[in-house]
Amino acid sequence: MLNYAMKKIAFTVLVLFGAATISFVLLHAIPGDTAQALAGPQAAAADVENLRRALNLDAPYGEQYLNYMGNLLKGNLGHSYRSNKPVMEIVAAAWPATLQLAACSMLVAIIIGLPIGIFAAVKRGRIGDTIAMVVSFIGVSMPSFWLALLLIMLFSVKLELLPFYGIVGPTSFILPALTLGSSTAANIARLTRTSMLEILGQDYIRTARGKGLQDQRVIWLHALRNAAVPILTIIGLQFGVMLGGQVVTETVFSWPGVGRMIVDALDSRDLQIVQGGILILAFTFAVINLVTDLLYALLDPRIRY
Amino acid sequence: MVGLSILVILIAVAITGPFVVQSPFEQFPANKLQGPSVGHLLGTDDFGRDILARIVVGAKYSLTSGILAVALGLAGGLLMGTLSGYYGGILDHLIMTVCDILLAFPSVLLAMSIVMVMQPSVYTPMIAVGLSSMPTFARLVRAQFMSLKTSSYVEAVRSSGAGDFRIIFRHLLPNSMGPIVVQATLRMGSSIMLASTLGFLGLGAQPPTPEWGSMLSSARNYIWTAPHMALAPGLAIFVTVIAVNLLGDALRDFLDPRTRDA
Amino acid sequence: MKNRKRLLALLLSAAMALSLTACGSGTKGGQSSALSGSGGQDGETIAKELIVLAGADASTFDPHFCTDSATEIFNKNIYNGLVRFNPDMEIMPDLAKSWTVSEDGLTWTFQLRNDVVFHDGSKFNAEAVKITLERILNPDVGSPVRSSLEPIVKVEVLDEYTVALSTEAPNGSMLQRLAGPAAFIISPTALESYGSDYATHPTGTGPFKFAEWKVGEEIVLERNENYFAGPPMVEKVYFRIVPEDATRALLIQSGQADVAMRLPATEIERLRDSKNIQFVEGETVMTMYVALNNSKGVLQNVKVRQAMNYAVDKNVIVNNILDGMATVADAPISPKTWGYASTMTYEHDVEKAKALLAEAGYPDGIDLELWTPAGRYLMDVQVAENLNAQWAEANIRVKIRQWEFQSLMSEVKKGEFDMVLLGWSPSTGDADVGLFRPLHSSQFPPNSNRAFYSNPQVDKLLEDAQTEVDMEKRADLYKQAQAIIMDEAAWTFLYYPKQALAVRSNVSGIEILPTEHIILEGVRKN
Repeated sequence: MLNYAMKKIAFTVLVLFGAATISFVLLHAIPGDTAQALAGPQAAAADVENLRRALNLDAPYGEQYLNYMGNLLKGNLGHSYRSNKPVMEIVAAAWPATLQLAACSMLVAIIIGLPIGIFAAVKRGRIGDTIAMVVSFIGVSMPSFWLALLLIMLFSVKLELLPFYGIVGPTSFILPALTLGSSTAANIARLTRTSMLEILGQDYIRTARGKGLQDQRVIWLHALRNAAVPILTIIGLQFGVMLGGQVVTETVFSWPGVGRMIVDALDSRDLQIVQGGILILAFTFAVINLVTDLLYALLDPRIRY
Repeated sequence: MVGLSILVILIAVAITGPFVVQSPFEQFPANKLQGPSVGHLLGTDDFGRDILARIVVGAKYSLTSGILAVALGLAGGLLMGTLSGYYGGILDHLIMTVCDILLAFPSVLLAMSIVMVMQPSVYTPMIAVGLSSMPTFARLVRAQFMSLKTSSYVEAVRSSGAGDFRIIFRHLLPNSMGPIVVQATLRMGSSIMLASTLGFLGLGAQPPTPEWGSMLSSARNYIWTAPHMALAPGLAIFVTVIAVNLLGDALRDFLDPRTRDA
Repeated sequence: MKNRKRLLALLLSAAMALSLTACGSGTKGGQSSALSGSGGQDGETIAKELIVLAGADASTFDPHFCTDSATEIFNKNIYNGLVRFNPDMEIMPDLAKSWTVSEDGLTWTFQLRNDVVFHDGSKFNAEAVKITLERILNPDVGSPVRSSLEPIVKVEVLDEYTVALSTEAPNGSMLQRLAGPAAFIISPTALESYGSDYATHPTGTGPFKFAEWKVGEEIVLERNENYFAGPPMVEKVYFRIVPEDATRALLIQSGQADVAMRLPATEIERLRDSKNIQFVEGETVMTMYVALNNSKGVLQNVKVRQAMNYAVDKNVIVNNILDGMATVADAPISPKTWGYASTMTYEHDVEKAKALLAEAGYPDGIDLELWTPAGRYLMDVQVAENLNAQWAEANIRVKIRQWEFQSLMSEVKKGEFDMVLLGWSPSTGDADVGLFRPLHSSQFPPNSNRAFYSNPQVDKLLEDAQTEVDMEKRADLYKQAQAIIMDEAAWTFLYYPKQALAVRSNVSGIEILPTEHIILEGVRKN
């Protein structure tokens, strides 16, 4: 187990360095020049060149890359080209908002998705099942930015009930979490239903039923515990999807998180920030994958490593 | 079957619709932001253009974006997956590591940066979405090949002297087509959504192209004054995605009743 | 959270009031002397907070590295320059009380105020001016606004409160250059102690002190009780970053904010009926235009360029796309820019446009591509779409290409475009930056003459005007230059955007400048 964990951790680090490299290459391939972007469209060319030298942006890309990776090894993400604030500080300020939103959305998704899935499995083939599955289908197919607009129009504009910009209180989480959580809820519901049905069909559950255990307890105790592994996996995977999906949700809800930070920084070609943001998201994603992998191994002794 | 019929209708609309509706480009600024009426069934946008016409003419972009993106992702994924799954070894490690790295990127950001690297056009979001879906396909193909290549059947073919090329194209590919086709169809829905997300973020489709995502994006500024602008394009994307997803589900049940969601 | 903030503000104002009564005497400079123990002046109370909604976050609080007008708004309330603009773009004293220029026009001598302290408590004097200006002028520092002060070759401290600036040639726009945000004076002691971290510890002399910056969320400024022109009547200003236009409109409408910046025209229209909201409106120094690539293809032909102008009804853009939030451009620079002179206009005339195209040898029209940024200027893409429709009527078939702004800028440098929609906003409010940079032939990209416009006569006029210190003669030179530029249709001249600030009706005293700066020092909130 320890060996397995170490291997996984080493791989995670490798993935992160790969992510840093790919984002570096990709970002430098994007047209637009940081020095020019910082100096603005009205700057004189000579001023742009002075600034480029001052920021050491005139160094060859290879050298910049090595510098960047060298600093990264020391845990230094560099400084914002614009404000000269340490990237770590800016990223650390935005990260909690993103993480909180993702956690809330996941909570929403589980609270909605799990019962629907169980309900559908219990009512298999009956009208309740169909309704539950239609609802989940709608959830998967709803474009999140449209859902966001609809929610805002209904709850904020029409009913004036819920806030829809930034974080002004606990209620601020409701609309963005619904936006972000709906498709995950649908996915969880569908998966819960399938895995439960499969397990309910297996021999040992049949035996348990035969022993006269109450229907409800059979479902809860045996089926759910055994369906936990695939559900956990999908939750881990969906968490990553959510982190990515936040780019749009954060923009629409003026959410002070990493996604919006990246988009803003990209606008002004503050590439250090963009990279820091991408890395923190990749890091979060990788850590969650790692944790799910390890949990998975713990939960299901059949897994060999 | 519901999915298929909706899709057929959508395709029919995309092909014939443009000949029926009013001009999606002609501007009547005096008529802007009008709600639905007899003359404009879905109302008019911020230039006084007929929204129905724009939705109808825009249908082809969303439909092609799904197909093109998936075709591209599938092609790339097949290549990577084949190399990785069939030949294995160091190549396999390399390709799978790259896939893992790419999967660690938030998909929207990956697609965004690819769009920005390329010249903007209606097709760039489709290509970007296709490229960003390659790793998923690569993994699937690899898994299929890995399990098939050790099967006794393939062993038998190999011992009969068949070359790699023949084994891959005559035996492995046809036998793994089922799950791949299912995955491709299911992926189409999310591709359409991601492509329209890019449109929503203002990347890709060029005005006055009536791409649905970008129509929604311009509706954002009028959620007070003209909420109808946001309803139609969103609903259009929604219906298309749901149709494709339904089709994918049906296809899966048909091809392989045992496949699971995961 | 909110309550705690309020409590804190209350405590702070109480403390402030106490300390003020303790200090008693008050400072020179108008209003500031009458502070009473109740924490107000003239019987007024100091408001606790002012919430201002901004569309974009700050880039940097180091004014010598700041190049975006969004951030200049924050800096404008933290810093002062030697001189400043009033809302009519006239030069007024600021940190300098008075100034003289030598006979030969080469030396400017400024008499400085002697009652000014920086936010860190250090004294403002001639040395601070010297250190500030020399910092900007040092190419190794890399200030992107250096060239706006480039004519200055020497800064000399004559005595504690007198400073002299020398130039090699006379310069007609020296004061305008010094009034711009590039020349804000910073505290030498803060610069020394914070070094490369200065940008997050901005220390000026302005009415507000920098308190906090939560990136992407808000910027907090607090009242400078020692402000030389009288401390402002609000304890804290919260600039909240709300990028969504419709969201800013909703927040100001529901009273969750006091001021909202940069609302789109449709929202302004909608909010005009609201009793609780008024608008502080004004013109700007900005010109929106389509840079026609004068060095490429059919657009090299002056007749074609004139046709491009005749074919557009700018009134449609101004009234229907921008809902009246602009005026039709009748010169390359706006009326609020010094040196503006209208010499001719291109009245909408589709037939004339077609005739000009035919004369130029294109009776069947022409095909061109128009590049536009997306979201950089208010309604930019919409304007491009409307131009596309209007030009089509004169057989000018245009394909639009929408770009993310920074990509657009680097592509435009290559010069391989037909037309690009741009704005030009001379931060000095002067024709030199307004005309020389975007239209002199020495300024081809990577500089700012993105239309590749070149006319030796115009070049000569703009050069002469730079060194002309007789303002009447200078204005005449610019008038001649503008006449040629208009007649040759260097650009498609579109409009001058107007600005409007939505303000709750219990708030007053906010000033806006044509340079799109917002001045909060006189703000009152009841």
